[in-house]
Amino acid sequence: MEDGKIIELFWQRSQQAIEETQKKYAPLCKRLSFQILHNAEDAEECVNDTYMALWNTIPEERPGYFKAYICKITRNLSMNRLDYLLAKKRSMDAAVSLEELGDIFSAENDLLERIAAQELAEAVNVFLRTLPKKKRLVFVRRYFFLDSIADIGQLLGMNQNTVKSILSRDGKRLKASLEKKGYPIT
Amino acid sequence: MKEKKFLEAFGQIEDIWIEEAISFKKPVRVYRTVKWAAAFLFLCSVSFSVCFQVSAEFRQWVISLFRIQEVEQVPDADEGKTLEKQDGIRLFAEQKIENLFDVEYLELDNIGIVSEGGDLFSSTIGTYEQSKDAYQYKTIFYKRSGKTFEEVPSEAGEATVSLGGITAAVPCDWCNYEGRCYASGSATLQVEREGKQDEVKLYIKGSDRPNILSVTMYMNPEVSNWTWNYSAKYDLETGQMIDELADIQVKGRPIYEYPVLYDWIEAGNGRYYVTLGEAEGAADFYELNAETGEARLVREMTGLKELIDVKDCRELDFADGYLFLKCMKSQNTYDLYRYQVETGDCQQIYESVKKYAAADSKETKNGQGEDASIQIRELDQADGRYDLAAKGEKVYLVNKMTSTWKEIEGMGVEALSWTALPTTGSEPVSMLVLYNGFGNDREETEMGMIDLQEDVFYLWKRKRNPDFEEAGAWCQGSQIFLDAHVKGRGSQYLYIYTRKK
Repeated sequence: MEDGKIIELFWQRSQQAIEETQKKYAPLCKRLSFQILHNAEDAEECVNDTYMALWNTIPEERPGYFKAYICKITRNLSMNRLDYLLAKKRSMDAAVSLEELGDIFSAENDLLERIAAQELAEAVNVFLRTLPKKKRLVFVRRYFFLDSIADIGQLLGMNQNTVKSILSRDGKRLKASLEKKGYPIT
Repeated sequence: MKEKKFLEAFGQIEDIWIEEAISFKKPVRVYRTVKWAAAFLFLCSVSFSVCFQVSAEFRQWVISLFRIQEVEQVPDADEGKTLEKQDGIRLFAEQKIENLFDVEYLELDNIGIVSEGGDLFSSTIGTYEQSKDAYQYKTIFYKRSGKTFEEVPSEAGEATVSLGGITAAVPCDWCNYEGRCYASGSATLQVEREGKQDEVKLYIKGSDRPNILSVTMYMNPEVSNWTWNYSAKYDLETGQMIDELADIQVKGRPIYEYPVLYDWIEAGNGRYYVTLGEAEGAADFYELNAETGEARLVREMTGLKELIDVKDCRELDFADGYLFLKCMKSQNTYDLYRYQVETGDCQQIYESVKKYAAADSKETKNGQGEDASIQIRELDQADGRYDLAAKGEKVYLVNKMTSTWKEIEGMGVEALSWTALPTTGSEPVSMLVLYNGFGNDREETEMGMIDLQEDVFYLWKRKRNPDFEEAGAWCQGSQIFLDAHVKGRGSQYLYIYTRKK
């Protein structure tokens, strides 16, 4: 079923909306959640919560990009669930392993701490707009979908070193652009 | 945590970039001959459609072709390599996956089943309640029965729990199965305390004893960033709470009065480890002993001043368990110690190793002036006691319990960035599985399995059925589970690979 029709079903408060969403997007959502949580049970629960969130939000919103809208909800719920799992300590430390960020935003400067969350989000969007498509795909797959370097390399037909190099060099460009905006390294 | 802030910012990127990333397909170059072939295929498909319409026998034959057919194969070059006894972990390329695993493909009738441990599975189903205009969730438990799943009798009800002065009825589903209690339930409440409104979340899970639920309370989780939680047990038969930490105090205050209380490790014999303090930056690691009522600072017990993390190892019997204590030396390098809970013995495992980073290592070395010669990829979600270590071009499997290093033949440094499948359940881990290309639409991916008993690294190429989307994969004991969905149809399959003995 087309996304427009599914959204229409949500507007009509038809239970079929959930069934059709599940049919079409369960694997995408589950995989995204699993990439964050590394646990099938938690991922399944987050996907169930996604349907509930859609049920509650769509009457007020009519998403332009339904697929992206669902992904954002699933990702958000999964990140929240990760906080809960980390607090409970279930050996999830390596769940989101993004050590390369340590090299870009090093501990010697507190750039990310000083910048407001909304401003950082806007800066990331501006940065993504400036990137050629392939580099943008690398960044989105890595930091939105949390794919591994190896998986990104496979998907985009690049070797791992190229993926690493894009993340490292262009990540530093993002840092430089933030510094230009008035967040110099202290 | 800077990673978290960065990831949250990425969660707000424009929808168009997300759609672009989902829709991306690697372009396939089309040659002239391919175009002719396409024209020929078109003609064939027209003839095929006619036959399909008119002949029932032909239709049946066609349908039989579309059953799940997975091919798992190894690279030709490695085929038939002899197994010779040698130190380290030997590479072995198995021609047929069936020689390593019994492979089953179970159709799940779309019930979203996940494994709970042993042969128990559960599925949480949302049912719409017209009167509340909301979804209510119910967990159903199943056990495997041949190629199907049979429902395990369970109970649904409310557990009236009391923790930290708050009493609430939490709806939950539970069952006792093979000496354990499996349960699922949650509730969110708004509570007025000392003139202000607090949000309280209560979660119920099972435990390793029948009729005993584990209850965890989170206070203002969204505001406190989940840095306060407290757990106790609930006896379903007596309706009583069992809170063995209620009387333990730190600096004259009950521990649950501290605003920061999280990162719990239950180490057995009444011992717990927790991060506790007045504020997140000022919190420290404590050992709590329920039998003696004592609380001790881990930093003081061990003499490790630079301690930044205390980790457990899920699969161990904590009656004589160990903890792993990490001390940072510089931005990316650390020392690791093994601490025996019963004896207090503390031994160094690593000295100045570098956490494996996906970034360009040359730039890192030059830019940061760091040159740790050993890189460590932690396999926390896979087991907890093993790490992968890269030294030069060689990769080792490190058993942190015994401090033994075994070189893995045939594993290159690039495998450090492969996906390590998480392990679930309480069975001892007998294998570690790495997957390259998980979830991709590509038909050919790679899988590697380190058999911890045999010290063999099995490597094979996996040809995936393109009609299926794979959503998750995990290990449990000697089995690999793969959750796959038929594209666009919504029906779900569970692939189960059981290691042959």
